[in-house]
Amino acid sequence: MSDKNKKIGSVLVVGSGIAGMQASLDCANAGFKVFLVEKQPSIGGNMARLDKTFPTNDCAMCMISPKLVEVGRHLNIDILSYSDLKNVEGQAGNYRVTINRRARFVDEEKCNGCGDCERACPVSLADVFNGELAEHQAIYRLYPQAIPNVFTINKNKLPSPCKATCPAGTNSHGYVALISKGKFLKALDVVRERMPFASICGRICFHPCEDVCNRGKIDEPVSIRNLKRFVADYEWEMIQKGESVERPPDEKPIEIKMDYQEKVAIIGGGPAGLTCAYDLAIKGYPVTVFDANEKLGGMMTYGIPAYRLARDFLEFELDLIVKKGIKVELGTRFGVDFNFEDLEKQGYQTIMFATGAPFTKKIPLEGIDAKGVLESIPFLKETNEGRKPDIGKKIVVIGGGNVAIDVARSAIRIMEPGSEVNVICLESREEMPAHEWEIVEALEEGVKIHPSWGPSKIISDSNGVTGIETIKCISVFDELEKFSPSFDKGIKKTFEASTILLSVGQMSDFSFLSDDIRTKNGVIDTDPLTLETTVKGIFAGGDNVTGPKSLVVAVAQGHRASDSIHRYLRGLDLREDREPIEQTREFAEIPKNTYPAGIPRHVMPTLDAATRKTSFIEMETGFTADMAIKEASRCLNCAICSECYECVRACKAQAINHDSKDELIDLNVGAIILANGFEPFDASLKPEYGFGRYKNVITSLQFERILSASGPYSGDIKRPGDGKAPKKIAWIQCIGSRDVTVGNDYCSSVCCMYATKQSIIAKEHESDTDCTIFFIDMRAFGKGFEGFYNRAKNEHGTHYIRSQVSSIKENPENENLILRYNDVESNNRIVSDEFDLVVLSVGLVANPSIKETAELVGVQCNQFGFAGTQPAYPLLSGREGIFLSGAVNGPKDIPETVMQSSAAAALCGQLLNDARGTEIEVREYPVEKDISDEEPRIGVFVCHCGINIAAVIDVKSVVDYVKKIPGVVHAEDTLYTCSQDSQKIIKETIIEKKLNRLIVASCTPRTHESLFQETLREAGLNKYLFEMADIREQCSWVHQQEPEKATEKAIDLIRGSIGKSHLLEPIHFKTVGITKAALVIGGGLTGMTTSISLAKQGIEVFLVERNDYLGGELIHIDRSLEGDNLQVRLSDAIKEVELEDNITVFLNSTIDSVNGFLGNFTSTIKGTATTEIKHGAIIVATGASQSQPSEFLYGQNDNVMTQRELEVNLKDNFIAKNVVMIQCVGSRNDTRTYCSRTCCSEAIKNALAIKEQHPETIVSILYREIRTYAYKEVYYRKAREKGIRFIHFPDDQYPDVSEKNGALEIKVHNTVLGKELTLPANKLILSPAIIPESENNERIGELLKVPINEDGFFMEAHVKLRPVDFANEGVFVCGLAHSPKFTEENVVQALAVAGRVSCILSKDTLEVGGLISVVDPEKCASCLTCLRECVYEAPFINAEGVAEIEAIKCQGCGNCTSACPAKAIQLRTFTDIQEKALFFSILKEPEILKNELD
Amino acid sequence: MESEKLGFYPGCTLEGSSSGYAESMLKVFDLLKIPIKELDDWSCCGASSAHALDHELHLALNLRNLALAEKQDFKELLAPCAACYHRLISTNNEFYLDNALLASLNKQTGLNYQGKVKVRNILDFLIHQVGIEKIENQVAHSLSSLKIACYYGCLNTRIPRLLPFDKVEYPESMDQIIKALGAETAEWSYKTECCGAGLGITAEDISNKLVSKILLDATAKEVDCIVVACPMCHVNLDTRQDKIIQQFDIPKEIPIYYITQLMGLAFGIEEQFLGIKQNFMPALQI
Repeated sequence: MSDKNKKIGSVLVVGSGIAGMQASLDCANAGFKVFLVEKQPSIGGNMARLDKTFPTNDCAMCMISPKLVEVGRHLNIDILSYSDLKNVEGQAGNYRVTINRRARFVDEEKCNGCGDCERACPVSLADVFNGELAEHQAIYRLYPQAIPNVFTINKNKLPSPCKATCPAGTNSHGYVALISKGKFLKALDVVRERMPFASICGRICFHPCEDVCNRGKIDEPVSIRNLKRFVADYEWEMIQKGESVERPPDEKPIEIKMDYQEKVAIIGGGPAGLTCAYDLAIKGYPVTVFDANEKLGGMMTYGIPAYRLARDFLEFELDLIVKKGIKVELGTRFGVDFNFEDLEKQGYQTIMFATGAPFTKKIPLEGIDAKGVLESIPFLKETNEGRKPDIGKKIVVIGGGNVAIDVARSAIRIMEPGSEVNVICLESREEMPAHEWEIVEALEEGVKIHPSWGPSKIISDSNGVTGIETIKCISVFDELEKFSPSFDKGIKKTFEASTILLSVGQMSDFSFLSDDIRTKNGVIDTDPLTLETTVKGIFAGGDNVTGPKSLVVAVAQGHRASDSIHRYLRGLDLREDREPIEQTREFAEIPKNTYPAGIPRHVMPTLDAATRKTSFIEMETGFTADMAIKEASRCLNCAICSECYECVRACKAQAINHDSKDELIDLNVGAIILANGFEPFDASLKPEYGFGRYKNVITSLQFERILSASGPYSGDIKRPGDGKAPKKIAWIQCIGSRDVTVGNDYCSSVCCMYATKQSIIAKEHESDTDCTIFFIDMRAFGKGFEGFYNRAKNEHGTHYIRSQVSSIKENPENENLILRYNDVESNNRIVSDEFDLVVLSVGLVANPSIKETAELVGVQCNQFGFAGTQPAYPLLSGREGIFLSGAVNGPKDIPETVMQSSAAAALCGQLLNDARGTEIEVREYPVEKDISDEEPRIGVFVCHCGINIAAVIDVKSVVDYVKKIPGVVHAEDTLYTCSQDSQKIIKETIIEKKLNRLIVASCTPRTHESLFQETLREAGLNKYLFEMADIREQCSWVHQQEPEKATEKAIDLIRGSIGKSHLLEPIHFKTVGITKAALVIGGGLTGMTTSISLAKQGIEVFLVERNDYLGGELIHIDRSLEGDNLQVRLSDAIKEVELEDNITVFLNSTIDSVNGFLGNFTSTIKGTATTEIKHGAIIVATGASQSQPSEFLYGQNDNVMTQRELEVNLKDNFIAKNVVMIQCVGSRNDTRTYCSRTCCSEAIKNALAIKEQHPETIVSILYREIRTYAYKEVYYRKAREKGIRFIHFPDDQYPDVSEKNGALEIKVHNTVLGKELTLPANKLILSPAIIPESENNERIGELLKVPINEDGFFMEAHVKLRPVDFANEGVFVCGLAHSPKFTEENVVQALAVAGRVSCILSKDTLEVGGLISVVDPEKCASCLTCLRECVYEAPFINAEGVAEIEAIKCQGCGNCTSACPAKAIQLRTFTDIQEKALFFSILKEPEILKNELD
Repeated sequence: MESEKLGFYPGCTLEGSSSGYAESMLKVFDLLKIPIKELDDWSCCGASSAHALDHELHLALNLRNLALAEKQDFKELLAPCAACYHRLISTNNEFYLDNALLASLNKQTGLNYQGKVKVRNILDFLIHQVGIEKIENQVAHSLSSLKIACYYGCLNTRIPRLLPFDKVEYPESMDQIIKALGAETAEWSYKTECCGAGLGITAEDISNKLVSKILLDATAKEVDCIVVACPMCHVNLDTRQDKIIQQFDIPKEIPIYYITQLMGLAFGIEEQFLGIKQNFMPALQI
């Protein structure tokens, strides 16, 4: 065999809902290594979102949680969550797959699930897991019990527009998010990471971030600039008040300061120079800033008027920067006061020029030199220094830019009242380069703007300027958009002026530069990426490189220059990995699960124009804290994670890495199981039901979350609209199912039952809730479903209305919903009824990932997007070695899913049998600690169980009490003691505190004991040194109304367990061998299928059939509804059984006796001879049969027949004018309450066959419900299209069949028409019930000690999660013996049994013992009582003549213990003395008790 | 735009009680540079009674109009009245299904219809032919101060299997147009509820009761006006509104506009050219 053909003993499972988990466990337990791939951050799928499950109303989380933990800690299951399948190559037995592990930004190994990061995260999103009825943070886990219990950061791949657009790279999203949570100082720290001038920039920035803000698409952008200002002001005010702004040590911005020696000279103390200096000072360089002015700040100080930027803030901020360790030399001009040589001498190693563009451009204009013509920058400098130059009463400002407006507004502030300020500019009003808001403010203050005028001449007399003559400017730019103004010289306007202020642009002066530092187009020629000048090691940045620009651009230049200087001084490459000059224009869109609060943008409070024009007091007064929080909460969190790094600071485990990347993993697997599952139908696709519009219309999954104790309302039933408790709830069925308009012609199979369940649970929460379910057909087809439906109807009072609701309208007064419908069963009345809450029972649709995966692995999908195309072989994908399980191949409920998963595992086992056991690891536990000489050291963990316990019992006070009980060395409470992180805590506590007894006070040992016992073993303790106190089922759940007493009772129960725990002893197992053979009872297709699968997995099979032929009940059925030839399938199976060496068939045989136990049975088969066989497992596949009708003239009139008889007739030419079929003959009545599941489809199959032969035949099907679930619905529709008549009759009004002169006549009350119909019939076809083989079942039940339910079918161990196991280990059930079902379902169940059996028989040995009864031979009187009592036949009289109990047979039921008259038998861990200790301790303190026991 | 290919079927209402609809539509189309020509020699579509009394007569009536359209070289026939649209499109569809019927009816009308004409609903035409972008670009006065309830009535989006252009039960097309004009649209429960249609004439009480519910829900949603695309809806909601308001205690009057009237206003066409004065309820100051 070549390497390529070598079979690999591992399996890839895609999707980790209950299907994927069960498949993984069954594969792993049968000796295969499993890789479980899941897209979500955690496993569990949809089942984890459910509250309860039908028809037993078990808590879904309680069922799935132990499974999650089992998968999570299984040595041979590797969970690859948050991962996608990327590539698949190879063939069955040997696939090479590539998996992309998406970056979750949290190290799975380090994260302990503590949730500190979640509490620190400022970004809230709608929680999809909770139906968007609650919020979670950008760092999150799906739910508290999630496995793996680690956090994940939700990041958009693209950046937030605001952050990506900021030239300086300020993390706007980050600080806005922090502000929204009131974390102002932290927000300020985020600003300062890239923006040293938080306060200044927060006042004067032209905020390009706001232009691109996605919120602007909804209403208006977030006021990002003003928020930045707010946090700067906030800190400033704290300082003014003398409050400390020192950040706590662990919250300080991370600064790594080195001690570099290289001196840097920065020429120019404006924003570019200071930023560069600031960066370098933080890095640890000695930096000196030289500035020609008396003050630092450049244009910030001299150019920006104080009414826009108050001097206090400016000075404060400049001071803050200087304090980073920058040396400042003011009033010294480069090129005049010092030069290159001086700097060199002083040891400066590099220079950065940031000299700005402080000079006003001159224009060639007649009279420009006249007295009274001033430049704008010196004017602004003067006014900013507080001087009031005399400029007269009428001034003209030339220019339309921001500086011109600043000049005009500054001028108006220093002039006498009544003075005139005119601004003239070439541009039209729309073209003016100044910011619109500044122009508007200027206008408000009385500045007059004259657009489209160009100066032609300055008029002056001997005293100086008197006015200016202007001409009309027609256009400013030419066709190439180049500055090229054209004028109409004929149109003139003259302005009087005492002063003219020139403000037509700024420029730099480069006279100080040496020749080798070249300039170009009026700026210093630099490399745009590095800002290096034409001289190596000399840099420049800011306005002298970019031309006059804004503060934020200057800061960007400063950063860029500082980076280059650092690289230069460290000898690094100047260009490598630089941030590109062009910012990304690809921004994140508005994320789906962010929801904007409906708050309008906050307007910055401003002084009124009249007040502000008289002074330089800052005109904008700033946001209040409340405004800031509200404004920040308008942010849509476009990038989702804001990268504020709060989580990094919060995480004590240092598990967070924002830079982590996706990772590709290559695996080699032998087989693949696709278990991608379903997703709920998107209810907004049926807009008429108002989902998304009406607040109180929700989906069933949302209601499931509402019901859940860990859901958005902590288990209180509230409606989302107003939080009121709904008293009247309606369910509308078939939303997105059985609906051609949305392309889903199939039935989703589960909705009728889940709606029924929800109605019951809603009533259990609030007994006066009125529940109504609107439905088409009640599809209660599964095991136990009909009874469940009847209980809802009759015991709980759920109303069922057979009607499709025609409209839902919202009552505007109270947000109730008005439903209109036609009440068919009440005389077709049109009814309008008002409900508080409407639940849409959404169907199951194909998970989008199915298509994706199917394409990757080369598998077909059906027209609905589910995988696979052959209904008869639901597990086969069409590609060998790739199997399907669960909802991936169509909608179904949990037990069907579990069966398919075990079955898929069996198919993997068949394919990979040779490679079984080759890839697995074996778990090794630490050596058990000997505690025999130790005093008890007891640890107690008290569980909140979310609110299940904690809402009633005061858990904290329980813990406080327990701590004081002698022997207890540790007690603590945990939210979910069963969660993986709790196990870790328990294990660590056991080791650290040297515990030798453990008590968990939580739920029931039935589901959770083994989980905790495993933890004990991992901590090196014997697993029987454990006790559970059930304070949930036995306390909080039953004493909800009396919380105080419940708390006392919980204490009592725990005290009892503590008392008992003193007496616990370690118990050890012994190992027994396993017989690798199975006994299969029943030779129908089901039994044969199990046998073949087991045989192929190398297990010997004894197949026993009581008839003289194989084939069972299927010999009566020719074809399936879907058209498969079942007889061919049957004969193929028979052939395969006959050919298979591992199968021995016993025909005409029955089981006579069964002895032994799991792994080691001995049975006798009685046939022509009696054979004794040894085997390790037993499979019951005894089938069922069809009832013989006794009604409707069956047996009396030859034209009355059953469907099966019709099928025989249909083989020939079947001629009848009128055919009538009656459904539910013998099913769903008082004596046989269950639904026979298959009859509706069988009737439709035969009706279609009749129509095919003779389309003119009138076929009428009289029914109570049509239960064509899943894809069978398609045939129901087809039947209606073919003209088959479906006539509904009420449950209690079966048709009346009479015979007149040999002709059949059927009277039936049709509910739709509301009247009785009389139908003639040439043939009347009855659909009889499938009935259990009661006698046979009882006999086998007794032989195998397995139970039978009230309908006479065998009862499995657990209806949801153990659908083919019996509680009695080693015994399994499948096929019709379990319940009525279709052939393809029987086959799946048969394979599921094979999957389960191979989990046992693939092993070589079993561990036995543990919790069993033992006989004290000293006390035994050999009275045989125990032998009579034991149903498992475990006791026997041994060679010594006393009773002994066979360890492996003993189930630990305790019957013998209680029956033994001599008290010679004790059940381990339930010994008399231990139980006494328990009971007395419940009553009294342990020390008192000790005396009593002695 | 394809010239000479779009025919205009006014039907009785657009010539009479709903002339404001026709007037505004033609103005708006003119501005949008969409050539449209009235079908020459058109006759009644039989909407109110013919189709209910004599199916074949109704088909013949509509076939005649369709045949004329074909003869006059119209590729598409726009029927702004929802009832006319309904009759024409269902007749047209019936012919696609059945050749024998077509032959028999051609014989009756003496015309030879080949089934080449496409019947267009005005909402469908505006959304899919003209396009939202073009409408948006034409807006001169944004209606941004208004909140508007779009009322589609029962016929505009039905019959679903005949060329559905919008969601049947909760349509959005008119809302999209109104949003393009700058206004806010209401999410309300009565978009496609029946106004009583012809019962407004024969059984006023029933119609009034139905209309009252529509008006009540619209007022509860605080809309400034209701916009319609069907003469029948307009008549029922507008002409007797004062009476209905009194009878059913409706808190305020609500102006009822045709979609093309609001488009006209937003496009900057003066009120006098849009037939707005013919509406009974006082117009808004837009």
